[in-house]
Amino acid sequence: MASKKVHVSRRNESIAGYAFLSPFFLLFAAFGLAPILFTVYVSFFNWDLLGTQEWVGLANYQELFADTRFYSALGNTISIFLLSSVPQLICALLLAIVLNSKKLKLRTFWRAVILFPFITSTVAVAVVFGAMFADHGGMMNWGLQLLGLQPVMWHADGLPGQIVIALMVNWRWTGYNTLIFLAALQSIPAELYEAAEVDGASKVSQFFNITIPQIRPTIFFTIVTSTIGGLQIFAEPFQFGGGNYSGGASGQFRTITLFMFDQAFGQLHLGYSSAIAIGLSIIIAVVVGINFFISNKLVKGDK
Amino acid sequence: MKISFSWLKQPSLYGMLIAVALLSLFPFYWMYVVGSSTNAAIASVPPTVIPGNQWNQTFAHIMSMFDIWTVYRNSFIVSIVVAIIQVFTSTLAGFAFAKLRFRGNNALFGVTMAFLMIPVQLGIIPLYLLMANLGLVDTLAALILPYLASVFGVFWMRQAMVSNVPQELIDSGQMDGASFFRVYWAIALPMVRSTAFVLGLFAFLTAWNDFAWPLIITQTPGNFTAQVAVSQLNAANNPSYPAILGGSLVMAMPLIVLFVVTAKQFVAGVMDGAVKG
Repeated sequence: MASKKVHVSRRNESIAGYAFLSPFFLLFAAFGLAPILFTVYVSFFNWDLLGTQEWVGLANYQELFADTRFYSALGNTISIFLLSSVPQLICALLLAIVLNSKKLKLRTFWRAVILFPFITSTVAVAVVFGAMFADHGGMMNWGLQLLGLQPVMWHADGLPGQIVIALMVNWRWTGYNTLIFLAALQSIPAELYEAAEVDGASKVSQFFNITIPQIRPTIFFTIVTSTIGGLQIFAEPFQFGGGNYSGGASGQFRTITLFMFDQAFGQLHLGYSSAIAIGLSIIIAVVVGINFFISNKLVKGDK
Repeated sequence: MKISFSWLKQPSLYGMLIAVALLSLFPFYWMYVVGSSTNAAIASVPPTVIPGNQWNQTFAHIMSMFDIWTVYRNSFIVSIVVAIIQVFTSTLAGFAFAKLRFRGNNALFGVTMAFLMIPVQLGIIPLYLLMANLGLVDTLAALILPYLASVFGVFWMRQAMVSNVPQELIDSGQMDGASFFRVYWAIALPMVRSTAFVLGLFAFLTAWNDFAWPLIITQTPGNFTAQVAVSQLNAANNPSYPAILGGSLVMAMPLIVLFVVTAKQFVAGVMDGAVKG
């Protein structure tokens, strides 16, 4: 009898397991997985938002490979990504070291303050920075003139526009990544530093020989998340360009996602737009893969 | 009573932190400065850094573009429904993955986690087609449905269940004849409530700040959410800085209040998610 009871309860446990997973899986399948798979399908069509659907095989991809607008958007996206993620992660790590200081008072206060920008929407960040970096009458140009420098045409010129967009990303995400690094720093055993002190190692040497290797998984994590997010940047260049898909008068800060949205919801070319989405996903996968490769190499190099 | 001034001995540490704090907070202050000034005052040299007295006019200007209270109501409905259901689906699935024995548990979890890496924008075009087929374009339901299931939420809640809920409590609950749902609801859920609360905060924040999807799927001002509304101010034919920045502040206000009230949990949540990540 006892074994039968165990058997029944095991079966009930299985049923409960699948039942408890089902709300998540049904919703995820319908609104997450199915659309992703369908993107691949749509990319093989000449698919107009207003009705026409015609199988064209790989034609959209051939067009994409030859499309100078795609390469220009790719270049802008990577440029903005590098301008935003590199300084952001370096600043976040330095700030985390400051916040990790044992003597620091008001810990929670400082942590909350640096996290504050994170709650701001990308739209609000973009309009505020858009106003501060106005080409005429903006606060930044006033400051530059005060220093005797020429005003910069932030909206009209190429690189300045990308720098402002990167600054928006830096402002919003540095605090968040600081807390991620801080959590990692706190998990490093204090004995490692104590031993290094005994051996007479300098602070700089401790940083490179203890801190960096110990938090390497976290560094990898932040690089991967900023890659996935950064290469999809949309709201900032959209708003900075005045709330449209053009990405500046000559597309100087038009990113891949802006290009994709323009093709889908501006030009109504859903098939071509889907091919852009797949292209972007492959690029993200490649960049994340390169991260994995380098990270593995470094770990092996240590041993 | 002894007051400690020892922190003054570390001027570089605190000087740096104060500078960072000012950088973090200045844009919020400046939203109010611009929102309470005239367009002319903003363009003046040197730029205004003190609030003006035009806030009511700016508010009226924004109200002439859309009804702020309707936008609040829409964003609030969307964000709260997303937060509650996402917490429910995530904790329920997290509980099953962490605590229940069934065939394929580990394999299913592994497959699910693979989707953590998939970019969210990838499915947006078919998602639009799906909503069009369901007749949900320009409805709040279309804003809610895509966010009810979160892969990150399941990942996080499984971790919380593994580290906070002892298996013996689950087993003894079963011995007493409680149903599995009862064990989840009355034993496991209360033990992960602080992590689940932070997941809810994140879901609320993300839904409130979402932009690309609401931009595409809403059409009439009656269905605008916070970020689409700000975007409308920015894309107006005759854009006014006081309205755009004042509007940004108005639309950020509920989150600012929420953040100030929950800052401690919020900070702990970000750091907690990080260690596990």
